[in-house]
Amino acid sequence: MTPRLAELVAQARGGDRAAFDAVVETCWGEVFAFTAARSATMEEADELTQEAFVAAWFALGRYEEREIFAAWVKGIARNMLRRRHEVRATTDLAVVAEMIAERLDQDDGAAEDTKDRLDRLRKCLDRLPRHLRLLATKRFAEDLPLSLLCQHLHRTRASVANALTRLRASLRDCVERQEAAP
Amino acid sequence: MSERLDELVQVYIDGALSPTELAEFQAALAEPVLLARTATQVREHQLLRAACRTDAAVRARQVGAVIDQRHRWKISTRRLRSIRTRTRPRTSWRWWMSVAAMIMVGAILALSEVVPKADDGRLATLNTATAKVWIYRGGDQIATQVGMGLFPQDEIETADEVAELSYPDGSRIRLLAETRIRLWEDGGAKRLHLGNGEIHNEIAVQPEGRPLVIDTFHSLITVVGTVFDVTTAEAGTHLAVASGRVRFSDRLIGGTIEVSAGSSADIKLQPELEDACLPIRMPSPDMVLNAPKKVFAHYFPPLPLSMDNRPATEDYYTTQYLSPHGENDKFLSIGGMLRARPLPVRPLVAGDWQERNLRLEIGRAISRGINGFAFDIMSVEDAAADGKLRRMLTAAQTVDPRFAILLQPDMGSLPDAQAVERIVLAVHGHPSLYHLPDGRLVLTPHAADRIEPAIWSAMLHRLRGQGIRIAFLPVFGSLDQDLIDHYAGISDGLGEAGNPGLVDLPARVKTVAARVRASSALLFSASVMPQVFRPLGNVFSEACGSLAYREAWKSAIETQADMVRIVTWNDYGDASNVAPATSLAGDSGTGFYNLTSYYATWFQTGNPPEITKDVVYYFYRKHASSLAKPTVTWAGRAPVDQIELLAFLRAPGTVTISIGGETRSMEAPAGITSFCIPSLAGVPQFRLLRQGVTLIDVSGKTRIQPTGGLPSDTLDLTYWSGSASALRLR
Repeated sequence: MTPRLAELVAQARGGDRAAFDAVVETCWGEVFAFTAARSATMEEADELTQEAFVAAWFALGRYEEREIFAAWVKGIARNMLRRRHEVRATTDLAVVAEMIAERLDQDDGAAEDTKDRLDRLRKCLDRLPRHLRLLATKRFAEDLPLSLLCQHLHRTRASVANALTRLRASLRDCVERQEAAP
Repeated sequence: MSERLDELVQVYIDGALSPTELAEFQAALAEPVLLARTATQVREHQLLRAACRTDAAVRARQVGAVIDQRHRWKISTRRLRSIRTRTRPRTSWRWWMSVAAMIMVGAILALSEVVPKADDGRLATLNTATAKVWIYRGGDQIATQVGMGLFPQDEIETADEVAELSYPDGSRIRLLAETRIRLWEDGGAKRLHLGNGEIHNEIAVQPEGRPLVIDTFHSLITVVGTVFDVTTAEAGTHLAVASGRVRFSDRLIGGTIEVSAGSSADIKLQPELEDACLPIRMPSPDMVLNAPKKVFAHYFPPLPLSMDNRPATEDYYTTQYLSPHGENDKFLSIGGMLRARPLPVRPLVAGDWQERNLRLEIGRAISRGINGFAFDIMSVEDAAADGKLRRMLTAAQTVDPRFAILLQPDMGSLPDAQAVERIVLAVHGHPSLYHLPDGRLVLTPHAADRIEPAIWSAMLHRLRGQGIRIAFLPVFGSLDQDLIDHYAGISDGLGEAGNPGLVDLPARVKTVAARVRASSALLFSASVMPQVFRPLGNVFSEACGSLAYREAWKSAIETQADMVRIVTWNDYGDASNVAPATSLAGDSGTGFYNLTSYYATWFQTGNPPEITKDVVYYFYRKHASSLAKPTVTWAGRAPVDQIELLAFLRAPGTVTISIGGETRSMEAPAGITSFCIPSLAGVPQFRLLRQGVTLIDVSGKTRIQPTGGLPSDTLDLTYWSGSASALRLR
């Protein structure tokens, strides 16, 4: 956690709402990435992220300074998700979502999606060749579903999925190179 | 497996897995390795989504608003508790006076909630009035003055001025320039229709159960009390909320979201077709729907947007109609039943997907100036409670009851006049059916000459006996004088099916219009048809690119036809569809669709619309007509193998077509220019240049095959088409 963020969190604990707004703005992406990976829809992820931050505000007294703030909010979100999974109907889709969520929870220690990682990813996105950047924009910024993307690119679904896999691999390499750099 | 898994993961993320795919996906996840791969992919995908999003500040404000809201709730709860636990003070005359005052104030407030109108029945008051603000009452413009009352169904329109009105409860609506609204109330709830433009709204808290509802062509906006802006135009409706929460519902495809403070949302007419390549500023949907001159597009129910609500890669069009091996090789000899299909739509997980798709089609039609569908009724069952006609009527009513459905019994399919009578009796009361201004229900049987006039006449008589007045406008394949003589006596109007292959189409239309007008039938219904190529039966007419369609429209306009029927909206079976289409190869079929906007607007307004944007359309075939011999024969216009660039220009420019290493150019004046060159193998490139600057540069999406032979056995004589503007390519 950066000293600036730690300072903002401390101010927020003192009741400073503006400081808490800045904390939310800083950590939103990280928490959203966490909830989105575990939610059935983007709307649910947005709602869950918002609820987690609201709950965090009212529970700031219980936050311990040695914890990474975003990780603490993600913990709140995880508990909310568990409660939702408990009450959700056991459809096949819900079962699949839960399997993936559980697996993600196991992986979390291995690859934490920190703010730094998000920042590096943004830099790598900016460095993509134009055609890949267009693909990334359509898929991740504009949320174009695969079917429309196929139509847009005049390619089959398998081919576009393959291109997305290659795109992610290239971004992963780029992020890892940055992390390894001194 | 990993590649297939990656594909399934992406579809899972979109929430679009079919039941079969879900089962396959679930089985794959039983493998720990594949589950790990999936989890990684999902996490990376969402991380990328998060990285691409730039709304953290907005989200932070939303979190802040929720916190504030909950703080307020907590505070008010605490106050309530403290009041309840407070020791009751000693009563005095001052105390009783204050209680009395509070009761009076409360009563006044309550009264103002229940009876929000002033004594004269006004709904609202106009706070500003200038020469550029107009009020219409009962269709007539009335004098505008500050403080005047606004009553139910009053319409307010601004030119380049701002107008403001207020309600008795303090709610204020501000109309920005070029805006038109209509006011009314519904059971004490305020209602407002935003036809076009932008309004800024500051809405006081509305009475319980009676929210203010604003409707636009695309959306319903339900408000309890808040500050927000709404903008609507042809392409969609934009909502921006400053404070409070607003419910935003999509009228065309269904679905509701809540938009909270600091957020905005859009409902677009058709995301994949928005910001279209149109050369004119389209009239608003309101103006299209209110236009007294009707442009109907022939709706062919067997070929809707989707037949099975499946993804396009595996739906019935792809696997059975476009594939040469579809329906157990039934159409193998002709290379498949269809060459084109409608643009794919996303499967709908819940709800009536067929009706949702019809609403989408209606929206697409209105956006190009079409204000009704001539529904091809092929069986009596279509009019049953769950029949295709009923579903269309329901969809039209949901979108807007002004979108008219013209009853067009298909006498090539229906057995007799009794069947038509049963259909009329089943649906005649529906508000979406097309009626003439005098209230008569319009009936336009196609291939009407299969039934003798005396039998039609008896049917009309029986219907009249049941209180159903019919305007009878039969349509015939070819409207020769003897048919007119035979049928005019029982008809209110007559029409002829389109034929794009006619050698002198304008002269033919003029002759027919004159014959009809000289008869006792009076109304002339003109048909416009873009092209015909039907693999089934090898039917083909040479349309010369867009020429036949343009000629037919101009003839309808010049002969002052009483209505136009576009033949067809969606018969992909003979390529006569104007609805946007594509193929397995991704060919583009948007040219006729976009071109319709210009001529439909001209027909409805009576004047050629001003060209406000440089736009280029192109039309060409992938196969030369010589490849069609000897299986396909044609009558009428001789086949021409050409590439056409149709330019709509605001100012003179140079248009070029490049193909096979050759470039041909033409200096085009402002206005409409058709530039044609002989067809060559390859992919044509179309450009528009002005003063050395390339404004449009677009490649066709269809490759023209060499004339040496068909690369497959699938002959395709469809004119594929595309659209491009300086801003966007399609």
